[in-house]
Amino acid sequence: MTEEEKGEQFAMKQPLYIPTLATAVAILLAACAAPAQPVQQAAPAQQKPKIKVGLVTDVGSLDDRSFNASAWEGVQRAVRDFGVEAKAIESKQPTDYIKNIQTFVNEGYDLIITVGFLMGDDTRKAAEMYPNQKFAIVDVGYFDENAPKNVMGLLFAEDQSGFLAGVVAGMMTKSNVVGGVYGLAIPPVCRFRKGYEAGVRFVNSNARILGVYQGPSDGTPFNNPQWGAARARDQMNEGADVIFSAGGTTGNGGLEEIAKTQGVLGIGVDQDQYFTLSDNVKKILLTSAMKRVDQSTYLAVKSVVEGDFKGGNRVFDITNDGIGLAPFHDLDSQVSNDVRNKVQEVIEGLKNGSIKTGLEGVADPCAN
Amino acid sequence: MDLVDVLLRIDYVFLLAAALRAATPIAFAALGGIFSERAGVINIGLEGMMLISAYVCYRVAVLAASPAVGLVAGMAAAMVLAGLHGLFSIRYQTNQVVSGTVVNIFAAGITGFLFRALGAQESAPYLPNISHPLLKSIPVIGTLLFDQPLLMWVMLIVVVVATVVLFRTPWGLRTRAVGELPRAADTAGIPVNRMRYLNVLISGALAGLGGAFFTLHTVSTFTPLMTSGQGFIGLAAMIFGNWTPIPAFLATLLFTLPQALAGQLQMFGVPLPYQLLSTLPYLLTIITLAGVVRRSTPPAALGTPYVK
Repeated sequence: MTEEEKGEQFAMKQPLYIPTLATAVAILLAACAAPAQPVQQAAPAQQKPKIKVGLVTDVGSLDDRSFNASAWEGVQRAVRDFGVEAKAIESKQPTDYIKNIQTFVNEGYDLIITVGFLMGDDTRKAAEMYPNQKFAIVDVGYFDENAPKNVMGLLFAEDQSGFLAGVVAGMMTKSNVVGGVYGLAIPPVCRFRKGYEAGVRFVNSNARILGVYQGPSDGTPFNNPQWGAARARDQMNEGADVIFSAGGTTGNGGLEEIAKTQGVLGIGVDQDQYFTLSDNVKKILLTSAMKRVDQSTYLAVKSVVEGDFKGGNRVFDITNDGIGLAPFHDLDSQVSNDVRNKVQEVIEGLKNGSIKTGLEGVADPCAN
Repeated sequence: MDLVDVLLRIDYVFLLAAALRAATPIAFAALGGIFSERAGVINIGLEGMMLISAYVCYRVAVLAASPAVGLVAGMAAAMVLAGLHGLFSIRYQTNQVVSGTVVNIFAAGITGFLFRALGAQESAPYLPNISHPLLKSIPVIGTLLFDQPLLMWVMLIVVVVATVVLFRTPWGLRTRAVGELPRAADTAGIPVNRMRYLNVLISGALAGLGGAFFTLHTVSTFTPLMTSGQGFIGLAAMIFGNWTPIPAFLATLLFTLPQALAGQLQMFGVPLPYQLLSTLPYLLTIITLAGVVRRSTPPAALGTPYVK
């Protein structure tokens, strides 16, 4: 073996720096994409009170164009209106929840807002550990006797929102079959579904109603568009011509599949999805069953600013504009006055209590 | 409705057609895994390669207003990652599982970043379906084959071609030799590391095709992590199929058929908890693994870098 060959061999056997460096760069890039560190800071409008509000997202980013985004939007509105200071931390995985809450506690934040049903347990734990710290949590209420007094549970009457969507679906269907593609069966999703189905039956008692929840083994929860698309296709094969999709990007996959087929319409969820979904979907999006998460976080901050923050559950429903139906946008011309009048009538009925969704006061909407 | 009524009602041809569609990206991942691992390189990065391809396909198809251009770009992007994986595993002898994991983390990070920076509201144009008005009306076969995504057809063709290439050509023999006994292959004059590079690149190209299925067939937009672990299911199918294309393809159906069935059962309102139904694919997998597959033998030199 010549010296040169020996040198080459030596070089081959050396664990080189390049892979290590590349690994570091990769991880750095990953970190850039979804930082666990504070990512957004909204500057206060005025100098005086400096109330500090911290928001911890559920797994998913601040600009998920859905839930987290909506919660942050409400906080930002409060920043503009009341001159509070706000910061958000994104959770990358469920184990981050408690860590991120702790960060805000340590930094002396006045109000900590946590977003999403899945954070219910950790928020409660933190609230019990720090009874003087104010919390608000989106989508969770604590109903037992020992419910922490320092948490404002921001709940929504998703059933009313779904009910209105169901009224539209039940009247718009020509095949008399309506469908639904849903995310995991957690209370908000179940309320949407059951409200929707009640709404369909309210206007169209002999319509056939189909629906599927994403199972825990059906890929990533709320993020398996391919699964959602396949389920929408199943339902179209059974003749469904209006499909409600309530399940994050899993549901959005359903809407994308609908958009490939002539004559089938979709209904979105949470916010007016006309502004967030792809151009294909816009053309078939009849309306969206909205819940105003932004309104709830805004009011939570407002209560702290005005000094009347109280623990306990607050329900956002049709009477306080906490839920509602999005405009028909591109499909406006296809919606008859009968449908509009009926929707208006149902809104009034839900407001004055003469129409019930059947889920009022139901503690576990996912039962049976 | 009880179970028997539902089972009698289900449109099984439609079900099988759905399972074939769902099997497409998983089978591409499995095939990619087979090429790479037959040559001796573990490829755990298939998920990441699919994801980056899904993103690049989407973005380029929108920019170029052409799904074909998007497809080529997506495959190229996946091959770049495969090339990096090859470089780490072959040239620098990094632990191949670590290198593959790095690929996955990198792909998740960069696509998440680009999604955030650029958004994804424009709809990408779809690749065509292979549809023929006359052939489509043939019972069973028509539904199964003649109204299906282009890439499903490509997948079926690749399954056959891969079988021939791996087991009926000198090139395939060399690939397998390199993965089984690299020293002997080297002695016989086969350029071991070059064969490995090429196969890892092929693996990337196939993962790229799998990624394209998500954004050029299924939905018209990209969402972060939309591949939802299917690259890993593909790896499972590869092992299940004992590193051979046709059995691996059949193994993918073992995952997708029960999933499609579970969806239908739930839709028809079978009085069984849907959470249980959704475990059906995995349950069947366990049963099959325990009963049917006796032993899977990976290539002997899998995971071992070759040093002269």
